[in-house]
Amino acid sequence: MSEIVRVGGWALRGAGLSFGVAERGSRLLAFTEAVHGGAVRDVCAHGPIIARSTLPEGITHARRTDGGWDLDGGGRHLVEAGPLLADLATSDARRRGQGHARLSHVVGFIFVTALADLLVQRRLTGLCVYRADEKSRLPPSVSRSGWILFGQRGNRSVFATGAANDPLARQIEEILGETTFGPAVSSELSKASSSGEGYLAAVAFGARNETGNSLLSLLNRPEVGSALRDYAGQVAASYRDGVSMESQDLQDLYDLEMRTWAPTSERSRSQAGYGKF
Amino acid sequence: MEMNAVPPSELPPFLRDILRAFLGENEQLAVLARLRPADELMTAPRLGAMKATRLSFANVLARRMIEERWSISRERLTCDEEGDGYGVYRIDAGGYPLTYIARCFRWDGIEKIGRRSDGAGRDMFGAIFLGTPDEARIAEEFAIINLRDAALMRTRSDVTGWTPANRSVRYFDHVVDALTAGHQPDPSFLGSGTGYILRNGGYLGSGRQGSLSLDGLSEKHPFRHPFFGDLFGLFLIRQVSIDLVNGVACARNPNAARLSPEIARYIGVGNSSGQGMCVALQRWPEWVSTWLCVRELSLAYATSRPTHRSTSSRMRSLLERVSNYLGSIELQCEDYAIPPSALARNLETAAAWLAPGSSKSFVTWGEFADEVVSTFDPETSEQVNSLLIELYPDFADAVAEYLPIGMRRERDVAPEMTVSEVQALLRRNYSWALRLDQRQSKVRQHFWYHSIDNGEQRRGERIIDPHEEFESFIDHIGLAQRLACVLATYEGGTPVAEVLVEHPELYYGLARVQYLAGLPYAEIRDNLLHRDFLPAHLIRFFVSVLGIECTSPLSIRYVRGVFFQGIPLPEELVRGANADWRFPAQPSLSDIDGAVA
Repeated sequence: MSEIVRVGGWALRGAGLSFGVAERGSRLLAFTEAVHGGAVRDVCAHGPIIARSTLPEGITHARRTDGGWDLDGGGRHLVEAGPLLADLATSDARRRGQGHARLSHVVGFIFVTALADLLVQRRLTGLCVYRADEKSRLPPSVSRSGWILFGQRGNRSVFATGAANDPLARQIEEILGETTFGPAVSSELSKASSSGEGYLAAVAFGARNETGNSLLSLLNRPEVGSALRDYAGQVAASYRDGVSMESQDLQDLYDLEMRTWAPTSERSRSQAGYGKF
Repeated sequence: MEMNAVPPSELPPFLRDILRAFLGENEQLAVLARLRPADELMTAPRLGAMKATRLSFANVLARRMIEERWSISRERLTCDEEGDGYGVYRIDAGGYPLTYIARCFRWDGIEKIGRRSDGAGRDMFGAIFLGTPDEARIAEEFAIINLRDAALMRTRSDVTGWTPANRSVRYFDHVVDALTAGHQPDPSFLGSGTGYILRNGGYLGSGRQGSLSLDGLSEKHPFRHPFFGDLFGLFLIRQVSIDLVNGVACARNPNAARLSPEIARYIGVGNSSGQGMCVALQRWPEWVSTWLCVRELSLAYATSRPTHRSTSSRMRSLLERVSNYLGSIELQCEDYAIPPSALARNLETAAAWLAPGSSKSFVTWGEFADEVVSTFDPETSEQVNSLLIELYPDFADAVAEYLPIGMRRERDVAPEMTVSEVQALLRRNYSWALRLDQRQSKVRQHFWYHSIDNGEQRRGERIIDPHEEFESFIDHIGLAQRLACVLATYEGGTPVAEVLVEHPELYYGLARVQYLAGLPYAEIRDNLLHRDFLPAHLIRFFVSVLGIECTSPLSIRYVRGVFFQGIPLPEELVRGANADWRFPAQPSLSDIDGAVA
């Protein structure tokens, strides 16, 4: 796990992300590889898109009338655009008690769980709703569309996942229905039941928020049992036992990193060893 | 001395509590008043002058090994007369079983200094297992090591790390030849090489090559402590070096002498470090802050204390011991450091100030430290400071508990913070960086990069060298300036989450400014890009924090030194050893039985 975090930062730079973006992307990469597998493969598959990330035309954002945010990812990868959605939702959740942001026109939906985890690490409770774009290739543990409920119980992250049309989704909708962002979430859940362009939305609540607590208490109900996902346990096991990766994926990770290495120049060589220069 | 160089509110709560437990309120203020201001402390030359202290990681580890009587027993080490062999050691690390295996190779005729480019072509390769692996697993790991191809070698998570090492051939051969001839090696010859026969080849752990991640260890495991796994690996290399010279000598002559305990104890482990250390320091400023908070608080505590006959006597004895030690060693290159002989003389002078009948008198240790500062160079002064910390071991050891706590700090952005709030942080903590004039090309002349030839950090020149876009992060000043410029284009009440949408690349800079706020001594106040910056300063600082003695820059970007010289041998550790082992006196052959054939 530490190996992916360490090499991943360089690998993402090799793929085309700037230092600042790669820096936090490496954690998303390691988390996703540990929990779902296939993260490095996804980055490699989206190589040309990631390589465009430093071009000037970027991600745009606008405040909606309901107070949430709409982001247009400009076709970028979630490893770059996803954290920005999380930042906007976090900012409002911490300043106003609740935040909502919706991101469209992006790829790389294998990273949705990692983004939910990013919000949990910030001690927020909430819900991600998403629909993967049709071209996304996802491992079996990531549904093509659905929701991820997230929060913290004590110091432990808790997650539940489900489909947009399952009974649990209705209960979630009911809890969120009384909030400002209830209609937005209902619409997103409804969209997730059909096919179409990919999107990711997140609604987040700050610590001690009543709606957030209601969402968390939902996770205690017996009928939720099969929806619970022990991602924190999987991450801990990955630290303890290592991450099982295809050898080609590991090779690809290092190959991406190697793109950032350069031949030692004559000037550098002359600086090595003894002497003042 | 500036009053309250570090405001009491900025001292981490853990350290404030310790200070409170040791002293009353007025005395606490006296300690805080002695903390050195960051402006004075955080320059590369000052940091580079610092010496290993009681709080250095190797010394903290050694204390734990001694207190808990760690047991290290050689189950077997077999080798031929060229040193080709296999060893297995069983270890009880304070109740945590470990197994160490060592694969020693015959020398390939190449003196290796421990660069990554050596790859798997080392003279020795060890692996530390958690627990007690069976013979099949040990054989499997030896088979991996025997591949001797870094691209093919991968271990599993029952291994905490690999410990490559290389022979210091001249000294290794001297010891083996002497033992084979039936007598002890010449300690003064060993001392001329700072007393080691194997040198560190760079620990590969914490996930590298498939090894166990640090976070995969149980909370109480000793290796959860930063650098303990790496450094214990070095201790084991030292033990292998002793066993290996005995084994080779015995293979060459069944009647060979065995290394005497006096000389064995005098042997340490060599180490060479390069420019990558500077990159690590820039990457982990919370580490720098933690190390310096612990060190400076211990020093401030010591210098706030009144002198006393007993502490004066102890200090004089320490100064004399270190003076003797430094007087007995020779460095390969003295161009970039105060020569040990000069340090030795200065310490001797300072020791004389404390002798009965001296014309100088000091009411507090602060007065003594100030006198040292005004009389000698910064290296002497920092060596004295490291000894002052030794005078109050209870306080220093209590403070050292903060090392693993302070070094673990989550780095994330606080996206709800407004532009004005971040600007205030920049003004408060980065004025020194924002005011730096970067218009001349020499100010930003270098960039640092990973060399494809050897995997190490190298310095390139902008315009001349390629791959500037992949430069390693070392430019904290440029980062702060860029952040300040971009923020100036936004309304003050804008949350930085919105800034990030338009400038995602600023994530690291924002997070850095935010998560370091309130941490004293975090940022190095020097420009690593500058044409005239000397990497050796920061390399020396890092390795002194790790616990290396005799740090000697062989060039402006390459520093040598020695770990664990004088540390008790395993048979002494298990019996309950002397914790005051640093700066050993050079053994005298006349005092060693059978020293001469």
